[in-house]
Amino acid sequence: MLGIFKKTAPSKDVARDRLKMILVTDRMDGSAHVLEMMKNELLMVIQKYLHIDENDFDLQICQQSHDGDDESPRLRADIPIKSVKRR
Amino acid sequence: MSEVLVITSGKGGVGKTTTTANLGTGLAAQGKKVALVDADIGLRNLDVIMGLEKRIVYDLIDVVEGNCRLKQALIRDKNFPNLSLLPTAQTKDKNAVNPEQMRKLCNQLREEFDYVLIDCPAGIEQGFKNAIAGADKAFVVTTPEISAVRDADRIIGLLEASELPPPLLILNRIKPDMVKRGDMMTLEDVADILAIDVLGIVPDDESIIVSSNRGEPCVLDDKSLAGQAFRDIVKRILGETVPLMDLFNDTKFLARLKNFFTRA
Amino acid sequence: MSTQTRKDVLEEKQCVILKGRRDGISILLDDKTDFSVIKNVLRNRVADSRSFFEGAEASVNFKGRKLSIHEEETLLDIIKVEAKLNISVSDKNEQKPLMPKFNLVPVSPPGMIPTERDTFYYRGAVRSGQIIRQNGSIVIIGDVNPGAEIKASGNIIVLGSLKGTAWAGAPGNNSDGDINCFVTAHDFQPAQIRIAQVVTYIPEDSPRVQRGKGAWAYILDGAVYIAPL
Repeated sequence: MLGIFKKTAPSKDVARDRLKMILVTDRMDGSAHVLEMMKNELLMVIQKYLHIDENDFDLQICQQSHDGDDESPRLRADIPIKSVKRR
Repeated sequence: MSEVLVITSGKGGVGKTTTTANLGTGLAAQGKKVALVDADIGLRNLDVIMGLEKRIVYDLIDVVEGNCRLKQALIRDKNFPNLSLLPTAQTKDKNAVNPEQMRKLCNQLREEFDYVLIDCPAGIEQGFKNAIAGADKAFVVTTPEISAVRDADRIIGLLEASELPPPLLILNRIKPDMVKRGDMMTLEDVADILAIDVLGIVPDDESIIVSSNRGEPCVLDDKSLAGQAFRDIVKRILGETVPLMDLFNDTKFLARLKNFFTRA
Repeated sequence: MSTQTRKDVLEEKQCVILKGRRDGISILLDDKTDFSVIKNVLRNRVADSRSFFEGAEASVNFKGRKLSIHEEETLLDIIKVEAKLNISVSDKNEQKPLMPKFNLVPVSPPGMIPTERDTFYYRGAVRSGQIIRQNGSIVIIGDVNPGAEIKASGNIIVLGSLKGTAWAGAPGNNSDGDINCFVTAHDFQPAQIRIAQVVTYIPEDSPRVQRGKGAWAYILDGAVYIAPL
């Protein structure tokens, strides 16, 4: 079926989701380098299980989602795996 | 035990001064001894809302600088002898006072009044720091608009970093018809985003402007819906449990809306 | 208590004297009489003069005797009960605004006003938050907006609207102020007028002061008068 007619979301929902997004960055900027700190701590956990390329470890806050309807903020990690550690 | 309450917001123009005036007057109407303090140095407003602008002889800066005694600067309200206003200076700026001086001033006021309400200036720098210095509790006023809520969040962050207990929310200028249409965020949306407890809600109401015009806070007006909201908040401050005003099924409000449309 | 002679009764009456003032009521107390006697006499005086207190500015001033806070409160309570009024003590140093009196015609006849002062001129509007301070008299060729202040050791003349605060005859380094100074404006709607140490404002909804009309304010015998130009 071509073209699903997307109902225009109520403006207040748009506002709410935009706000949530804005506040995520606002609050992070407020406490300096939170993203950096999070990245380092995540790195430590991940490295217990995987060899990864530290320099290629990307951690980001973004707003998209897969289905395109939900606009809430997302923490996206992009981590290339070199190999799995033997435990 | 006396309480010093600071009314903040972050963003300007959301209703801090109006809230301070109405809550203070409402508390005085309940028999409490109340002092209102205008902490917005250089942008005097609380005096105008209270209708006392002509009676200013001394102000907060005069007290802090020792030009006069606190008692000489306090202006008694037109309607309630147990309500006084400490006006601010129009011709100085926010650096004329420091937090330590504000703390001392608040302690002096504590001795004579049951409640001290501080009208905090908009912004996050010196004026804000001064205003919260002597306070016991903070109320955050915001409207359900995106920039107001964003600024409120910033203020809440700063308040949480200070020694004050978690602030309470007053959501101002709610327009029930817009909320119903989905064009205005709800109390739940805002309280959820800000993650603080709610003290009260105040509907958008023309009687607020009329009240400012007259210098008579609408909390004294039986017919004012916003006035009723402020009266409810006053009761909650005094410890009573009052259910949140039902702005949506309120037949009186709907009838008023209807009148408004037919008149137009 | 022994029977009182006529002299005692007269003396007793003298130990509490009520005086009505524009800014409240002064109660002159004798400082040699016993406080308990003062209390009783005050009670009787107030009860007898209830009408005296009606319409009073609800402020009372005790003179002639040093009172402790407790004594002052006791006497205030007596007045409150006897006169059934909510009354407070006014500070002697409290600068309380006076109510102005409105005159249809200026009191003094037309003629030159003697002065030894220099007069200065300011061109432009004076806006909220701005203060103009001047040693001497000053003429503002412009408006004085609400929130603006003009402070002069001499007279203040506004060739525009006066909606701010004007302080004429203001005290300075060399003087306590000059009570003979005046304030005048083309459009007289001041927020507050001060002359020397006297503060006054025009009460809300005052019918006597019309927008856009000229008037001047001056002091005579301790009272503030406002008259049309």
